[in-house]
This record gives sequence, C-alpha cells and structure tokens, in this order.
Amino acid sequence: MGDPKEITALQATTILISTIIGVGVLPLPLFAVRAGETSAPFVTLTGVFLAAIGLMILTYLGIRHPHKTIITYSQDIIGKWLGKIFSIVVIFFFLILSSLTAREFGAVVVTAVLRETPLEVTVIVMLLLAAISCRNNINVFAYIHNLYVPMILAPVLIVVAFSLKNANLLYLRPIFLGNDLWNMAGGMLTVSALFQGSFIITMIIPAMKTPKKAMKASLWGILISGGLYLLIVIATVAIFGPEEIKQIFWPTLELARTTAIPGNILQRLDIIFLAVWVLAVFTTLFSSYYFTIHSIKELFRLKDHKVLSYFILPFVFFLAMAPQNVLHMYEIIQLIGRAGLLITIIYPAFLLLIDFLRSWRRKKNVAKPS
Amino acid sequence: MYIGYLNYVIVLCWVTGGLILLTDVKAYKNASLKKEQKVSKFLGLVNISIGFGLIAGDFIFSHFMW
Repeated sequence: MGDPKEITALQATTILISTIIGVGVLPLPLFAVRAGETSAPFVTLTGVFLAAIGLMILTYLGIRHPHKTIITYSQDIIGKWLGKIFSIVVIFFFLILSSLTAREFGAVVVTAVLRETPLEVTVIVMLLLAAISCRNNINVFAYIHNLYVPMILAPVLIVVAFSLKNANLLYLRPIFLGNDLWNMAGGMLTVSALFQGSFIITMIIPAMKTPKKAMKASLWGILISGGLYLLIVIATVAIFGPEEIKQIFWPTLELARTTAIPGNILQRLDIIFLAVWVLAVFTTLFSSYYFTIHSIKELFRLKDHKVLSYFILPFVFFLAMAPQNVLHMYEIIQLIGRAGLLITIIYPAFLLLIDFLRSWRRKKNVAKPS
Repeated sequence: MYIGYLNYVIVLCWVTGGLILLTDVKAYKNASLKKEQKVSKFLGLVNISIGFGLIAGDFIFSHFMW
C-alpha cells in the first residue's frame, strides 16, 4: 500500500497548475485592486514572484531529500520532536485550508447557482467527493489532475480572450501607482497566499520517477498558473476599472457574465465558467485534503491513508462552517492566508538554511581527519 | 448558544465512523496490516463517540445551562 514512483515531470506540472488554480480565481481581481488600484497587475505579479520563491525553496529542499516529504525530512533536519511539532502545525494549516476552500465553494454556489440549497449540503457534497477520491493512491491522484487541467485552462483563456475586445487600457494606467506601499505589500501577500496549494510538491517529489526534474515542473507550474492569474487581473481591470471592481464581490464571475462569443452563439459565459470553476475547486480541495491525510499518515508512520479520509471529514466540515457569513469568511481567508506564508515560505527557507549548515559542518568534519 | 449545523456534524460523525468500522477495518484485516486495523477501529469508534458526545453536550447545554 506504499506509493509507487511513477509520476512524470509533466504530471507534476499539471498537479501544480490544477492545485493552484482554484477558489481564489473569483475574488483575485478584488484583492489586487483593493491593494493597488490601477497597479493591480503589478501587485499580482509581485505576489506570483513571492510565491515562486517559496516554491523554488521547497522544491530544492525536496530534491535534496528525494525519498521523503517535509513531514519526514524536517525530523532529520531540526530533530525528531521539533520536526513533529512543526509538522502538526503544517497539517493543521492544510486542514483549515481544505475547510476554507470547501466553504468558499459553498458560498459561491449558494449565492450564484443553487439559491434554495442549504450551504451545509453543498459543502458536505464537495467534502465527500474529496474524501472518496482521496482513498486512491498517488498515481490516481496524478491522473485526476492530468485529466482536468485542459478543462480548467481552456475555458478561462477563452473568457479572457473574448472579454478583451471591450478592454479600456486607460484603466490600467498608471501601471505603478505607489500611493500606499504598505497596502500594496499586504495585497502582494494575499495574492501570494492564493498559491499555497503549491506546497503539494513536497508530497509529489518522493513519488516522481526522476525527482531531479521537479524544479522544471515547479517552474512551469507557477509560470502557467501565475500567468493565468495575471491575465485574469489585467482583463478584469481593463474592462471594469478599479472603482467598479471595488463594488463587485467576485469580479471574475462578472467578467464571464459580460463576455459573449461573437455571432450570438453564447451571449454570456458565466454558467460555462462556473462549471469549469467547480472542477478547479474540486482539484484544489482534493490536493489539500490529500496532502493533509498523507501527512498525518507519515507523521504516525502508518502504511495507508484510506482510514484518515473519512476520519477527518467531520472536523473539516466543522471548521468550514465556523465563519458567520461571506464577509467574515473572506476576513478569515486573508488572515489565515497571510499567516500561512510563514508555514509555506519561511518554514521551508529555515529548513533549507539549517540543512545547508548541517551539510557544511559534515563536510568540514570529513575533511579534518584527512 | 445555537449552532445550526450541529445536526450535520453529528450525522457526519456517525456516518464516517460507521464507514470506517464497516469497510476499512475489514480491508486492513484482509491485508494483514495489524497496526492500521487497530488504528482504524479506534478512529471509527472515536467518530461515533464524538457524535454521541455532541448530542449529550447539546442536550445538557440547552436544558440545564441556557
């Protein structure tokens, strides 16, 4: 029941893309515009850059320990107990991330599509889907992501491309407004937090055929998903303008609603976009849920993770229902997202530093007797 | 204090606990994974107990404390 080593670099890339692109797509332009007004694309770009640095650090660390995940190699680097304590923090963070993903999905579905359906039902359905899918091994996990990536990317690109005919480039100027740098830095952290799913690479590397190719997969993964996020922000700001976006809760959904395929084939694309968005949310939730149970399995040295997929379900649901309303939910998402950067960027950087120091000391000790 | 989704949590605890006891315990027994079999039995019982605990807690809270 161990994990087979069959994941290719292409599969690792698709896992990263479909994990990163998720619920965050809908409010992303709002987060960016609140932080930077017309500089929203610049804020997004810096956020992507920060996320890319974190991912590179994590991937490099994974390549140095190709048979282990962060849960196991952290115990080698900083000691058994300290490693276990930090691993529990990582697991708890991803448990919260899974619950917030499910809740955000439920909030959008109840507001935009199924208005009479109780919020709890939509959240439970999504969590059940994730829990049942997580009972397979990591190869099936990779196949599912591989299957959905084209279906996620193509419609989003179509929406962006057709919407650009109504774009007003004046809305994007000045490119760097720079009137409130602290606010822009906060926005950069929020955008960067939308890429926290990329932490999944630590679980993928030990299951890869050639772990050395993980860096290439990470670069492509962040380039494609970051590029798509940037395109969405540019298109949304260029069409609605910063002031209009501040009044809209999910600007990307409005973008799809105002976009038509020429020749009156389809006059609005929001339903198609929402169908695709459901897939994107599923793959994101699937990854964070799988990472949570896979990490618990490694922490307690179990040989299989199946039992944990059902066990954590009520806890994830309980956490998902904790926010009082949509506004409260987004407050929590921003707070947890920014705090989470300590876990997804600073913690791996700290581990890499200690790992470098240890290997340097080891080399020095080996060199001394000779 | 009223938590509207408590009923859903209780049902989820029972269903997931029941599923673990009915499917996973047997699967691990067939695969001769003793540690996993013990853990799954324990986790299944934990979920079911949490379900009953929540009912008892809700009853005590709403009848004697609120």
